[in-house]
Amino acid sequence: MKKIDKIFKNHLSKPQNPPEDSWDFISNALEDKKKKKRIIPIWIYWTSAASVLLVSFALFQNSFGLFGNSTIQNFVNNQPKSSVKTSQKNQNINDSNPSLENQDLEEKSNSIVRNSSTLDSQNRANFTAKSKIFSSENSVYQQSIIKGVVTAMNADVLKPKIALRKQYFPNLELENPNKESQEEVDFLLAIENQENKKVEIVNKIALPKLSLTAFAAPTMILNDKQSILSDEFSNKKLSNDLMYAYGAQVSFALNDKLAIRSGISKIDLRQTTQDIQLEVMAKDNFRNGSLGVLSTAKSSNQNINYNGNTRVMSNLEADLFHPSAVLLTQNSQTQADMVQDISFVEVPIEAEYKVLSYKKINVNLIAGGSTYFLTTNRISAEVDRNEVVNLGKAANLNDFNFSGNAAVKLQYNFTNKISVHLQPNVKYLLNSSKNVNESNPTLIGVQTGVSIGF
Amino acid sequence: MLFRHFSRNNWRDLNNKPLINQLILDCQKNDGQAQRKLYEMFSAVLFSVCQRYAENPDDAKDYFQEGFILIFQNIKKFRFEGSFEGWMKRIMVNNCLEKLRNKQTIYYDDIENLTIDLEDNLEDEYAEMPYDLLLNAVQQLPNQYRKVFNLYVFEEMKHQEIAELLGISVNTSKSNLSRARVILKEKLIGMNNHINK
Repeated sequence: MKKIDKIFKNHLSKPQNPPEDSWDFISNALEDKKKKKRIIPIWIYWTSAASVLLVSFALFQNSFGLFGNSTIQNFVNNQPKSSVKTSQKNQNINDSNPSLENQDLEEKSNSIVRNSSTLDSQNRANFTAKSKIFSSENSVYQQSIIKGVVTAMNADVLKPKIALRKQYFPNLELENPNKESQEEVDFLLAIENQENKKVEIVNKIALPKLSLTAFAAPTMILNDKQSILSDEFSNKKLSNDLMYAYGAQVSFALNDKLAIRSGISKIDLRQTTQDIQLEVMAKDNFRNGSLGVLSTAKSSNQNINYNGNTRVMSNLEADLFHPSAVLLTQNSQTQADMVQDISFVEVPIEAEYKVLSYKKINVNLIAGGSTYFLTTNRISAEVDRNEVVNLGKAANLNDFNFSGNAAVKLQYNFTNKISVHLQPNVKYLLNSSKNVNESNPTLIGVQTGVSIGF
Repeated sequence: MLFRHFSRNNWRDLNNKPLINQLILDCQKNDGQAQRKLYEMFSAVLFSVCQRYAENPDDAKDYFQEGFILIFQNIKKFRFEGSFEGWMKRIMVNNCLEKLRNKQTIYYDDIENLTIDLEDNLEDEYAEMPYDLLLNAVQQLPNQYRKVFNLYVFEEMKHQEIAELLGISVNTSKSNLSRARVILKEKLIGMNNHINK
């Protein structure tokens, strides 16, 4: 470097104060850009969010109406139950300034890569030369070039390394066919590392704070040895049906590991008690008094509020085969399966902690609690497949209760904003019912869902 | 006023890599405060770059502002490999070159045709010339000479690289640099004589 060069370099390398209003211009331009950028995304996001909520609501409504429109029939009446110069230029920067658009680094590098990969030897040499020019490891162009080459190489993943050398370093190989140059080694290493780093950085950077999730979860009561209705039925054969819970959740990321979430969902539960004895009482016999006293006194379970004239016979009565029933020619007994349906609206508050992150997969641990509001309380009896008798409702269910929740969430991120998940979970209900030993049933389920980040 | 804020703290921050990395991450999330902080830390260094490439103060301001906007718009592409300042400088330089391309007049000089004084005989007194005079001398260079001079002296690029980047021959790059030096030397001598009078 000549003396004159040094004089200029020493002086003109000193930092200089930019004009005072430059920051205002820059920040305003960035703000405008954000607003313009958001026009479509907001529309998309809010439409997506509205769709999720709408679908959830529709399912919710449909579920409420489902049972009422089914083939529940009243056994006795045998009828369907209805059931986003300077001053002049300022305006252009964020609008559609073609020169700025020409600055689009990605585009340039992509065209370079296209040339290098479509490839006559001149283009290859050009590509190699450009790589040298921007040899500093962090060059914008080089990064873009590497990214582009990675893309081009993705199709060549299985090619041997020597083939890659021939493709991307023809000149270097001629000079030294048996040994990779340092530049080449660095370049190839950069390519090899790029994919993993890219994924890590994508995971690390610009994670959305807020995300909306729609989910469905097959759920059932864990214990099938204890009746949730009455201890009287615990010695019967019980089965807990796999039912569905579904809803929407909003999650707020406190940092890149911890998030809190809440939402609303509907959860259905069903327990079937098999082989119970039903006693049907003729209304006329209530009227004359003598038979009514006999039936209501002994055959009613205290945890059931009947709404008709069909009763579940107690064990004792069933065992003894109620003598009075035999005598009552207008009454009849039959064997059936008793079905208890319960629906809750669940409002959870949970903390979600990321314990593992590998490429696009995250493993999160979830803990929290839920409040449940009872919405459906129904007890019916299936006399046969097509004939369901509405008996009444459980008298021992609390209108609202709570649960402690724990879950493991396996999440796959398609992008940093869209993901799907699989989430086995356990919920321990607290004080859901009374007058029964199994007042704190445990629920198990596997939640699957789609999340959109904002 | 802004430069007053760019004082000891900001100079110290320039060496605080964790802080810079965190600011980058925040900028990648479009955090306005982080953008402001990053601007305060690096604006003086980058404005200096733009002043050297531009032919007048207005253009320097334009290049600077547009370059900074490009930096923030592309900051998500920064991979935390190497110097962030270097990354920003390259964006600034590329932006300046792109702007100057529109004003481009290529001086296809050939080194063989040159009969210029390349003697390196400047006195030490020239080393104390005021910043503004030196900057003015560079800014008055023809665009092409200025680009080559900047790339060679400040970006420390070789003539082969400059030739590839600007799409000129190596000889043209060499001649442009030599002519730039001659012009600058004449200006230096002229300015020095004026000051001594």
